[in-house]
Amino acid sequence: MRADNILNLGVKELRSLIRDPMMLFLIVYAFTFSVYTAATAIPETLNRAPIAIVDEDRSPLSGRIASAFYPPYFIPPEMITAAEMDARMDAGLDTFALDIPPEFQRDLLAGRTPTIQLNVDATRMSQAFTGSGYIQSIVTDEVRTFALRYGASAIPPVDLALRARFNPELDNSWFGSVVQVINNVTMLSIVLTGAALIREREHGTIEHLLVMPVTPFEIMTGKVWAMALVVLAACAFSLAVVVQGLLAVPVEGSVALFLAGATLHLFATTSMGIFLGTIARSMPQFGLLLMLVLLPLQMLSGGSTPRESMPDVIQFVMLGAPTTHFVILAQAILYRGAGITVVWPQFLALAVIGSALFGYALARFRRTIGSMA
Amino acid sequence: MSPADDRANGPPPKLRIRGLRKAFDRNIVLDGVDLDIQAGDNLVLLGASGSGKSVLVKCILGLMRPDAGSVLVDGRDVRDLTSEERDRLMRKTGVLFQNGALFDSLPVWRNVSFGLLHGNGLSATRAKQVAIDKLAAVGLGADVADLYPAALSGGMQKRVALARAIAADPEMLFLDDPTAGLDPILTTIIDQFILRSLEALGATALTITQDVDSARHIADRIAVLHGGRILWEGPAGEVDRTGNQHVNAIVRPSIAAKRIGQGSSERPEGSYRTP
Repeated sequence: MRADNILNLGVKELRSLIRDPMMLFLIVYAFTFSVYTAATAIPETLNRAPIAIVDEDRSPLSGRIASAFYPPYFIPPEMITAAEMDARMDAGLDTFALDIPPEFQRDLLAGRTPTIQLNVDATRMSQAFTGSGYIQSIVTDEVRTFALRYGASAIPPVDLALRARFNPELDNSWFGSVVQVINNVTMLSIVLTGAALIREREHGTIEHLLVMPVTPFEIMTGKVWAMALVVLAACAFSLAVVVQGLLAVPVEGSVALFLAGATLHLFATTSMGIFLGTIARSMPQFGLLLMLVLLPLQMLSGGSTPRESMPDVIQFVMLGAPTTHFVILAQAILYRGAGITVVWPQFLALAVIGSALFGYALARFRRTIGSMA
Repeated sequence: MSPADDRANGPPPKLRIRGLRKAFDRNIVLDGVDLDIQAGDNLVLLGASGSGKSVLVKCILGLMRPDAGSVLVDGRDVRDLTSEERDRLMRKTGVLFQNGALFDSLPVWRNVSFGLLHGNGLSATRAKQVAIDKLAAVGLGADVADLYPAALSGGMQKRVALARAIAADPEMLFLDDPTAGLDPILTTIIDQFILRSLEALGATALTITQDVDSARHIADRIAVLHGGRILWEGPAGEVDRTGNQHVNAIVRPSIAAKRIGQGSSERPEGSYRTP
């Protein structure tokens, strides 16, 4: 193994990348616009949900409930009649339609248990799920406050004091931007290394490399370090300029520690890119393989949904994926300010997974060289 | 007695291939190839499409692992070489690939001096000067050095690839169909540059091609690969007098095609080489 060969072969990869405008565009897009839009344009919390109210009671209490829905969670409610309700929901105008029945206030004050009907358009999945809870909570609060004023003893035995730690305003952009950076680190590191290998294969230049006084290890390591460096630099830029600067997301922990973890993660994912590059025989095949690999890596790593919500078997299998450990360490460092004493198990796991993937990819690279040339 | 055996009493060959076999599933491509190339010899390997010429060269270069047989360079089996020994061998070897295999992201001079920069550790300034000298040896001016391959014609790309193959003054040169896809005029020009380069280097060369005229032009010796074996091998001037139908079919394809069209049932005659 010669370090100068590895250095020179990596520089060759960088020269190749600089002359590839599409890849450069993809890198810039993935770490700027993509991060910004993921943080701002795709809210997971309830945002401006359309709601209509059928007020058949027309009492002070029903008016109080209607006025409790306001932006940013809901757009100001449309006051409609019962006859309009079904048609509006069929037309997709309202996600929620709240029907307050006649004599609602009177029944409440008389100690009976009146019922309010909430119609939900369940095709709008995330709004439907989170919004129903919000509406239930708002209605309960308004009814309780109103009842207390009239001497009812509806004080619940326990008062839950909510304190949202690490993200006090439950601002989705905090979460979305960092998750997008994490996802794009994984995606681009696999794409860049795999594409670099396939491009050589398609142009026939891998043949030339293989008859030079360089080894497959040097060829592979050259690609790995060069592409990892590009993604690491883009990731650092994105965190500093887009996440912390443009989106004003407060980063609690050490960015240097996060980048050290990202380096280990890149060691694993760039090796994965080489591995996929040895399987696919053309760029289109590589693209299809990417979809098969990237989607589970991103969906099941804990970045989109908490790991604890997944079936046990999925949780266990995904322990073998580098993204799982990267997501854990990234969230711990960036959101909660965790230090190395907390995230060392993830560092260790990434080092082990990275070494295994590198070794396996190198073995396959050596074995398939004949069919590549 | 085969031509290889005729030469067996001479100096040890630079390249000796014995019993080389390679199959892909049930398709036997090489079925016991024996071939000697003496130091300084310029041998052209002729064969029809799909006869296994490229597979043979890949096995020699170590790009493909043969199922059986041996490849000896200077008496050493290439499979027994250590990593350092293989590095040394590759530094003494130049290869021109059929498609040129130029790095489109690198300027011409970096392509030509790629091995010098990456394998031999030459400085960029010195490597560029060597590249310009080698480009001149294949008839290209210094102005081409800073262009990218995409700006060159097919013929110029072949010449750049030839310049790259000879950049490190190799002792052994492998040329894989160097005139494939070129018109007759360009083919003649490339042949002349190949001849001049071989004369200047004094290298041992193995060229594989389907172009019989090109083979006659550049070869000292010709070998014919057919049915996974070397069917005939001898001086280039004797290739038309083998009397073997399969050799004739390759060296005189128009006559062979005419006979096939007339339903000739002539059996191939003698001069098969046996492993």
